[in-house]
Amino acid sequence: MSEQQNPEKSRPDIPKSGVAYGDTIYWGTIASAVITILGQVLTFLTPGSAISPSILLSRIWEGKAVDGIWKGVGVARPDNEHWYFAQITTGEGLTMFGIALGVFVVIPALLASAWVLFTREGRPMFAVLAIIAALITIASFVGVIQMPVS
Amino acid sequence: VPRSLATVLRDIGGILFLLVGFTGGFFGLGGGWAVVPVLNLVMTTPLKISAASSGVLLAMGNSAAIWPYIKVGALIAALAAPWMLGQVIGGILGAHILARVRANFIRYILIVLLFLTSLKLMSRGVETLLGIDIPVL
Repeated sequence: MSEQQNPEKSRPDIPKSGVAYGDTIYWGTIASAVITILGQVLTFLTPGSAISPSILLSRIWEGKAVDGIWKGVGVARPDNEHWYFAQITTGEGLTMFGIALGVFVVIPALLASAWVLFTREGRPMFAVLAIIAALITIASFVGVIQMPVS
Repeated sequence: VPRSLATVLRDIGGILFLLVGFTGGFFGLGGGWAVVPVLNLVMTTPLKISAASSGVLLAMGNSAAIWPYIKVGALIAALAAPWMLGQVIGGILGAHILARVRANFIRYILIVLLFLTSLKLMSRGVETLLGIDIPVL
C-alpha cells in the first residue's frame, strides 16, 4: 500500500518528551491563568487592600522608576524575594502568584522532558541540555542570577 | 540534507540563537520575530514546526530572564495580568489554527508581520537616536 493510500503509516511518531513538556506547560499555564483571573477579581472586590493597584498603575503612567512606583503603595518595594507569598491574600499578590506560577511551570516541564529523554527515548545529550536549561532557570528563581533594576 | 551540512547549519543556528537571546534580554524585544527565520531559513526546519517551536524556545529563554524582575517588583501584576491572559487565550487559539492552515498561508502572514515589525523597530531606533516622533509608526 503506498504512502498516499495509507497516510497514517507515514506520519512520524510524536516524541514522548515533547508530549511531557507540552502537557506540563499546558496545564500549568491553565492553572496560572485561573489563579490570575481570581487575583484580578479579588482586586476589584477589595479596593482597600494592602497593595493599591491604582497607585501602582498611576505611578507607571507617570513614568516613575521601580522605586518611585512602589513608594506609598502600602508595602515596601520587594527586595529580591518572592514577595507575593506574603501578600497572597491581596488581589495584587494573588495575581502575581498566578503569573509567577506560569513562569515557574517551565522548570518541572523541562525536568519531565529530561526524564522521558533519559528513560524512554534514550537520548541522553538532549536530556542533559534540558537539565542545564532547568538549572539555569532554577538559579534565576532562587536568586543566584540577579539583575540590578533601579 | 547531508549530515555534515546539517551539523554546520545547527552550529550556525546555535550562534544566531545566542544573538537572538541577547537581543531579547537586552532590548526586551522577545525574539519571536528572529527565532522563526533562524529555524526556517538557516536550520531548514519546516515553517509550521518553526512557528510552533519558537513559542517553546521563547518560553524557556524568557522564564529564566523574568525572575529577577518579578523579585524586585519591576513586574506589576495589574499591568501584566491582561497581557498574560490575552496571550494564553491567543496562544491556544493560534496553535489550533496553525495545525489546520496551509504552510504557504502562514509564510505570507509571517512576511507581512516581520515587515511591519521591522518598520516599527527601525522607527523606534530612529526616534530614540534623533529625539523625534515619527507619526503613525
